[in-house]
Amino acid sequence: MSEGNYVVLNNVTKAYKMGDTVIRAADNMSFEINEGEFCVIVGPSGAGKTTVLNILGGMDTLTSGEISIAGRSLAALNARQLTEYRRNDVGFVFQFYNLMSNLTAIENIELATEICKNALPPRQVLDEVGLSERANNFPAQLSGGEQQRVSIARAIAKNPKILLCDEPTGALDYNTGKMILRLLYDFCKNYKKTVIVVTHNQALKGMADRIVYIKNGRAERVELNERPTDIESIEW
Amino acid sequence: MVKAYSKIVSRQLRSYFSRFIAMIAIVMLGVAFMTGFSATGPNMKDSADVYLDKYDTPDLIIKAPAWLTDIPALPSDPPELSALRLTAEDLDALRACEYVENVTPVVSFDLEEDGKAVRLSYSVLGDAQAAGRPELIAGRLPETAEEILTERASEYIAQYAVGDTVSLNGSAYTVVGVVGNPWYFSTEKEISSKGRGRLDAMLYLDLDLSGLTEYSGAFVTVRGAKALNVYSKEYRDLISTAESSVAELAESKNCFVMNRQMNYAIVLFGENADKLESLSAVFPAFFLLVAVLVVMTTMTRMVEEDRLMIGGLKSQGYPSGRIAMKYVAYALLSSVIGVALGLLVGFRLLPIALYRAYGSPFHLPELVYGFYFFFGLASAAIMIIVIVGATLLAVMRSLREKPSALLVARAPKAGKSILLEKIPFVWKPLKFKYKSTMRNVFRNKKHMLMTIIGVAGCTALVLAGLGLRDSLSAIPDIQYKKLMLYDLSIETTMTAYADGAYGDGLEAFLKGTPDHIKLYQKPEYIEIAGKNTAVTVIAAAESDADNFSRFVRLRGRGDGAALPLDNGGAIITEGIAVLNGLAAGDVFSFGGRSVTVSGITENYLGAYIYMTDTVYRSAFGADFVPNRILIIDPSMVSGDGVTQAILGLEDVLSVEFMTDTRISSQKPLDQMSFIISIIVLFAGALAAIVIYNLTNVNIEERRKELATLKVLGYHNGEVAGYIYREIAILTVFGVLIGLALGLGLHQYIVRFMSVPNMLIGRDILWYTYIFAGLLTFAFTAVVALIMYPKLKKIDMNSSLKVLD
Repeated sequence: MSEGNYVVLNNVTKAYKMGDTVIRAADNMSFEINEGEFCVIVGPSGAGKTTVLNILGGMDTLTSGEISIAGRSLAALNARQLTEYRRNDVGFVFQFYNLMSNLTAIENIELATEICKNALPPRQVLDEVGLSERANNFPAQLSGGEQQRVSIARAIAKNPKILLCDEPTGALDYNTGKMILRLLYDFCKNYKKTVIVVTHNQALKGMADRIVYIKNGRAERVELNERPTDIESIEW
Repeated sequence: MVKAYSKIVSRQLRSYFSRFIAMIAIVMLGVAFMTGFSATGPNMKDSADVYLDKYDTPDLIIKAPAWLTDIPALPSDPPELSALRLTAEDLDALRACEYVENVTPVVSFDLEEDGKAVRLSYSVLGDAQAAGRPELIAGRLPETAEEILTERASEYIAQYAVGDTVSLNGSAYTVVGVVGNPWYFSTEKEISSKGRGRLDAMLYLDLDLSGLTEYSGAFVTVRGAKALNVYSKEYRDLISTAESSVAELAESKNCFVMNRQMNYAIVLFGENADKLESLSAVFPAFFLLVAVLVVMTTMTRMVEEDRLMIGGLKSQGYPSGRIAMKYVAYALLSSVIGVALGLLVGFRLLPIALYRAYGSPFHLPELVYGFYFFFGLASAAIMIIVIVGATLLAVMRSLREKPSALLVARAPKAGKSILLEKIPFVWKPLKFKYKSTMRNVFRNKKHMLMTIIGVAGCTALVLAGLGLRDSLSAIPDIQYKKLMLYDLSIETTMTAYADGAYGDGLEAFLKGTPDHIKLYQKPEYIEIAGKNTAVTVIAAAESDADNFSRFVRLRGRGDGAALPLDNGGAIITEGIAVLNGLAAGDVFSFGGRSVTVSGITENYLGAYIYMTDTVYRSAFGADFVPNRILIIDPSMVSGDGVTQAILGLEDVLSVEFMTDTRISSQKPLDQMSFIISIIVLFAGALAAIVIYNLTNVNIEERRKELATLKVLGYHNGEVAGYIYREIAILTVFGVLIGLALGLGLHQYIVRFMSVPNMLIGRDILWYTYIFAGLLTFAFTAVVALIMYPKLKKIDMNSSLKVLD
């Protein structure tokens, strides 16, 4: 595990005005993640998980506070710079895969790589997720697990600084879910990339290097896991 | 339950607000266009009829010889002039005729005052029942014999104000009022035998105050004619019966009987209404078709997008009827609002705009809004039925599925390889984003069809409209520069040439303009395709037959081959031939006469039958006596000096210069152009709404995809490109198909609108095609700009959480 604070959130606050009341979706939230860590952010519904994800992913701006990824502050970026950040530095894995239905598996990966700077070859990445045979299939011709693998391949192929996963197993059955987790974990360890999984599924805590507990818009507690459990033995 | 249900309906309206507005707008345009165009022609005819009837405008005018030769009326006239006038007994005889309702005497003649032609009419002004009353516009009626009324001013008729003093034949008259005579509601020039050959002033005196007891003519209204529209066949039939019985009475005095069909203003106005009606038979129907297709697809799509909600309601136990009601209510609401607005615009606003187009050659009668609901209501009914029907069908289709099937989001429309991919040399070099676009284009056939139909329909309308303008605007130049080559034409009295030569003055004048030809010209009214049409018979001496083509070019339109004028038969103009289905070699029968058609000549304005004197003699059984001289002399242009010099010559009745004819022939074409502009405007609006609607639906449907692109780091411009490229490609297809369709539509309309005395060219200028295409692209571009903020606002979170 390399040293240094790769992802830093410092007193991050995100407030929305709803009529007369102000809702603080993130309320002075602070935590750090090191480079190459497999981090799981858990919390109940409405705790602020989505807000953290949006802020980490450059999809939303802060009301106050400081956030930096790989030493670069995101707080001061404008909309265009945030788009550039999403383009080159973040990989996303969605709960519902979000593949373009009219593009084949390989083309869905190309959709991401053709606009980013340090992309990996799409074929190679597709091979890594074990889908080189299905390169020319459209999403509708793939199973849920396969679609999620294409989605992961699309995120990995961007060669991002961080990989953000939003309930990546949420729409999948138990076994398929495990396979997906394995894929994410291997990417994290083989490439020494930071992977952040946002979930309400407590069972995923076992495999993480770092667990951030979110509650009421705050990072209530951060746990380091010296000996992560093997994916095969976690149950939910 | 009802409350929750109505909440759903009102939320639906809000969430699809822009689509709702677009639907209303399309329905409105379609209905307004159909209604307005179909109602305006009949409205115009009604307006003229109501106006004419209001002032008891004569159905027949009896003109005694005194009127025809402009003999001035004086109380001290010698008694022998009585033979040339109508007396009280003559009027009584007319009144006794069973067809006659009202007979009002009149004294009318043209005189020359300071070189100006003045028409003086002694009319019955004080009797509100009198036929041929002018409408009092300003001032009051005369109270003494020295008080006078003036016709309202126009381009040719002089402007006199109330209080002006006018000197006529050495007496002074005071203008006390301004009137408008329905008989002269055209502002075109009125021919006169005095002055410069056209009227410069029209003045009215009170006949009852004048002491005159003999009349130059009489205004006659026909019993039962008022109830009929002046442009109807029933009216024409009634008048022609009445006319023949009146003509018998009038024959003893050598009177000339004139009817409303010989009135320039009435005929021209009717022709304009006819043209509008023929335009409205094609354009709006096509327009409506496009509108119907577009709304139909929109509703179907809306229902299909709502599967989840339908499933939700159904699984909650809502009865199918109630669920369907929601969509039917939406469809009904939007179509009924659209129809209501459409009827309002169509019945009220559009007729005014179209009617105003005729403001230039007419003192327009007040517009009468008749209840020509048929087309309006039919189009409204079609709209509502189709929209509600399509919605119901789509809802039923969804409702037939089990709620469980509905609740599971339908797999997004599967991506598929398209045919294009099988052509590697086309597909391979395509850039990635274009591949995606091409697949999208073909992914949703309904979508593709709607855009292409909408865009193609609009392009076709624009092209046909602009093309028609091309065709029309070319007419005067071809007609009066390429076909009719003479510079002026002089009308002479019929008897002038009886001895084989004109009077000395005219003959001397003709020596100075050696390039001339003497012809016989005779107006005929013949029935062509069920319509009474003015046709001019022109006969030339056989010895002049070869020379004739230098004055009037006779040639086939297709090949341009010269047609010789010879004794083999008559050459007829193309309009007559087309509408009678005549070809060279056929026998053409008209008004009890018949001639062999020896050729069909290119001609756009007017209808002519050309023949040699020999053919004329055998066909008409009458002698050939020239009454018209055509002259080629470019140095002669209309102007006070020249015109007056010619009119001053003995035997000359009138003179007409080609340049004037050409200019005045331009006017009705300008009106058509205006009307076409309205068509193009509507088509453009439809195009814009169709594209807006499509873009909107496109964005709504792909919200998730677009949000995903944003998350992947696509810039706003690139995201927009994803949607816009597709629309651009579909627009290109639509425009190309539309241009082909427009050409067909144009040819059809041209054929449809052609009447014997107006043949419209078939050609569309090359740059009109380009303009029509570019216009559609411009609409697309504007819509794209308008939609951009909406694309920018798409929330990325929707890509994370929303299932579909």
